Amino acid sequence: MLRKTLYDDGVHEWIVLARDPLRPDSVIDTNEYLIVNSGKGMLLDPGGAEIFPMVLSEISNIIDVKNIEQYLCSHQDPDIMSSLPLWMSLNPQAKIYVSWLWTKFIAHFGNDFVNQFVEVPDQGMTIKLNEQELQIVPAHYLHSSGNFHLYDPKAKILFSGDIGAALVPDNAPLFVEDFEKHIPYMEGFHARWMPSNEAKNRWIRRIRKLDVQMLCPQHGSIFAGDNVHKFLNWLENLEVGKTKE
Amino acid sequence: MNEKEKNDDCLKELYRNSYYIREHVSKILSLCDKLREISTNAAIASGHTTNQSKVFSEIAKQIGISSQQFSSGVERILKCLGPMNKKILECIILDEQRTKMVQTIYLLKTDTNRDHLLNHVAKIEWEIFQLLNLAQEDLAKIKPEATQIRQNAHRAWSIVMALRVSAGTQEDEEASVFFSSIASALDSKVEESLQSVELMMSILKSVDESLSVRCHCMRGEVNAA
Repeated sequence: MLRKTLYDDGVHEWIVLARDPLRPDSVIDTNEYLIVNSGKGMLLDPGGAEIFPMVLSEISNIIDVKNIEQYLCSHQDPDIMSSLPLWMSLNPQAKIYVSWLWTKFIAHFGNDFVNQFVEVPDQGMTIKLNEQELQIVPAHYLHSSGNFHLYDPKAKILFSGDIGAALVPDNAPLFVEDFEKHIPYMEGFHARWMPSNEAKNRWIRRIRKLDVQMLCPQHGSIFAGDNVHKFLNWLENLEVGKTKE
Repeated sequence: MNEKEKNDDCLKELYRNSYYIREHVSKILSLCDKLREISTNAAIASGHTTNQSKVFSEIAKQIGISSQQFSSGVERILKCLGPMNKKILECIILDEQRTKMVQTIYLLKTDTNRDHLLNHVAKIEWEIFQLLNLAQEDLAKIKPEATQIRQNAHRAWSIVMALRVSAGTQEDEEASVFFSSIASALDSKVEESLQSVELMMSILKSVDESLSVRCHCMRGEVNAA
């Protein structure tokens, strides 16, 4: 499994885990992001149950699972959080940040950890990992009706869930190198999965106000530097909510 | 097939079998309704007969008693079966968790989390072991009830036989018609119930054996841990 540090200032660290080689072909590839601040961790979209062994074994090279104190689930899909009962069984005290809209649905994964949910209101919220503030940013209808991303003002990284996602080949680079060549991998995905042009444009306006150096989706490759702006411009011009019927 | 797949199959087979018991018990329950109906009809018919009214009424009563014994036994089995099935299902879910944790242990390249995972696996195994023990206790309550139901089914079969013999030896035509019509009404249903009872008994035996083997294995694993 690919493991790369995206940001590290000695105290605050972002690590991505991607391209799981043991993943069955039937399971979509996902990126998991771990933020570590002074030894305490937050895992963003912990992933599906199928990839749990690989993700945890990889994370074990970085942190004790008991120190992962927070999870963010951008939305309710199985590739985002079907592993949650497994994670929570190892550290039942951890908090799970998730849209208020989904808590009663997610409880079907297992009711044992329902008290650990932190219901994120529609407008988002600011949370802390140790002393570092992190912003949970609304991304509703992109694609889920209760959807959130996470912005880290220190690392200037935006975790963007399914926005920016691309169905890339297994050997694709971790960072987008040629934006134009990357478009075919993400165009169909966004056109079909994102249901609302209005929601998409509202999100773009919101994100442009942030200083984003890296945009990290849950599938595919990461956008860094100028590619972040290229992506936002491309998305702005894309008509979404389309099917070929 | 590796050891893990065998264990998975064993628990899933156990769950399927415990579900089949419910199917057969439900069939027997539908027979109870039919018996009750026959008993009521026989009681009504006995009131309209000129001769042997007392005998007919007694037969209707006996069928009614059989029906009542059947249905209360079935109700008691269903009461234990639900919790037993639930426990076996919980074991399957826990075993899935256990598998993921064991896979993780094999993939670990460092010692971080190893002890925590090993302890967690041991904890899950202990929970499975306890649940299987409790399922065995549920099964122990079911077995005598099932034996009682089997006796009732044989008793119902004897009633059918007796009615047939009586119908053939009666000189009184009214009595002959009465006996043979009740025997015919009971016949297929009783045969169906006997089949269901025998199938249920054989599945119960298989569940009992599976639970014993699984508990025995788990005891070894838990002791080894």
